[in-house]
Amino acid sequence: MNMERAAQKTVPVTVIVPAYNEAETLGDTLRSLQSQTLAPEEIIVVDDCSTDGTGDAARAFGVTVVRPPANTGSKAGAQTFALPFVKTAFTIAIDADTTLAPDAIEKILPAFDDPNVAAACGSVFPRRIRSIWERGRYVEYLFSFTFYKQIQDEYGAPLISSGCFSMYRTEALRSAGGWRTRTLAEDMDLTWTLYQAGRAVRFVPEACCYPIEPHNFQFLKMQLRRWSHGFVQNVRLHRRGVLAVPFLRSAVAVTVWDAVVASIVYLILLPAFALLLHNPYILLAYVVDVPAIVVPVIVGAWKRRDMGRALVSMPSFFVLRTVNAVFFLAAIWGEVVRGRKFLLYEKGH
Amino acid sequence: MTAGIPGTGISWLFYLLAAMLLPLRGIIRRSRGGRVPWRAIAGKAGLACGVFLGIWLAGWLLGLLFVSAADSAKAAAGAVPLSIIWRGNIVRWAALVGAFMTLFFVLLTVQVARLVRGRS
Repeated sequence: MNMERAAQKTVPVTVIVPAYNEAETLGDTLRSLQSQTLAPEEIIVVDDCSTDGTGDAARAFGVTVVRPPANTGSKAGAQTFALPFVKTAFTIAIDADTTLAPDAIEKILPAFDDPNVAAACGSVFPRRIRSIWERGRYVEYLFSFTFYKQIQDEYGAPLISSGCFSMYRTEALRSAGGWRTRTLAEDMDLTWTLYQAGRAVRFVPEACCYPIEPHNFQFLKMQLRRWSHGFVQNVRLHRRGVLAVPFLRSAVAVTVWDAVVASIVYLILLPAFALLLHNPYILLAYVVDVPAIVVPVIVGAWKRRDMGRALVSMPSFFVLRTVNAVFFLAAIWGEVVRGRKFLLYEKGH
Repeated sequence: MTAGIPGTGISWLFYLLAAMLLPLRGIIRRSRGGRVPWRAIAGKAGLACGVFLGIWLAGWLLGLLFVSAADSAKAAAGAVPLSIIWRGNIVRWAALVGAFMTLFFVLLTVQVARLVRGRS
């Protein structure tokens, strides 16, 4: 393997892998990093005071391992702890349960030919697609990365540079203060901070990564709580700054509208009207946007030659969408109505 | 939708319009001497057309479904031609107009907020 690595072309990239008790999945992540067509100059694993031998597992791969004096309490904390150790022009952040396609770094790097680009992200697909939640997420990702995110990129404002795999210009990352712990969605916070600093963010669909998605409701619950509260926190934190960013302001407004108003309609008003008016046809509204979902999903699945699995997974998407709406309304209730900021970082993949 | 964030509502219309405006945006950029990735733009605009067609078909099917039994009976009796009833069904038009108006309201609110913020 060392001879293979010696033959690889190295690029000025440092990869930061924050890891807390990730001994089981970290090996796959490091293997995928070490078998890139363009190899990173250094891989830094942040062993965030794990108790399962994560540090030893990382050292076995010959990568740099750093350990903060105490658990940082969040992924953002662990990533920012490693930032002073970075000596290269570019930094990649990747989750310890995420693998990269062999050419991911090669595909994403050209996005930085434009000196104003500060961050770039790629497509995300679940590594395992078995449970209802993984299937629902697969459809969500197929839809999002085939349609919405590509449009956002055309208008120069991807809504978020995904935390599970993104590349950054190191100086821009440092100027932004690294990954901040003030919200539960540090990736969204960083993306919007970069826009407000006048920097650009790109989406490169060909650069693919494969995280492990929640396989059961327990993990899904933790992840959705983090994502929904993180989104609300970021909207509140950046609401003034985002107004100055063309397209992003509209995309955020539309997302907020859908997440709040449409969720209320979806979860409360539709069933209420169906009952009050004794008209079951009203419930057809739940699936009225099926064509809008199915067409991009089919196109995305066709490119991956995975049409059958995508179509079979469609019903799971509608279940997941309902669950998303419940968690989002709960986040609105907690953060906005009750005024309680939820900052407990729970790892839910 | 953004994964994990509910996406039912007006997002589809917003992104559909944004995708359909891409060719026009490309022409403007080209006229200013910029480079335009026409192939990528055509792909996205084509996808948007596919989505639009799918939504239109779904609206049409729902429209058929919502033609009431009474209207069908009237049509069967020859009182009103069925084509007029179908053409007159408001389901798809109401949904489309409602979505457009909501989107317009949301985008207008953002612009007003931006202007107010710019002055303060």
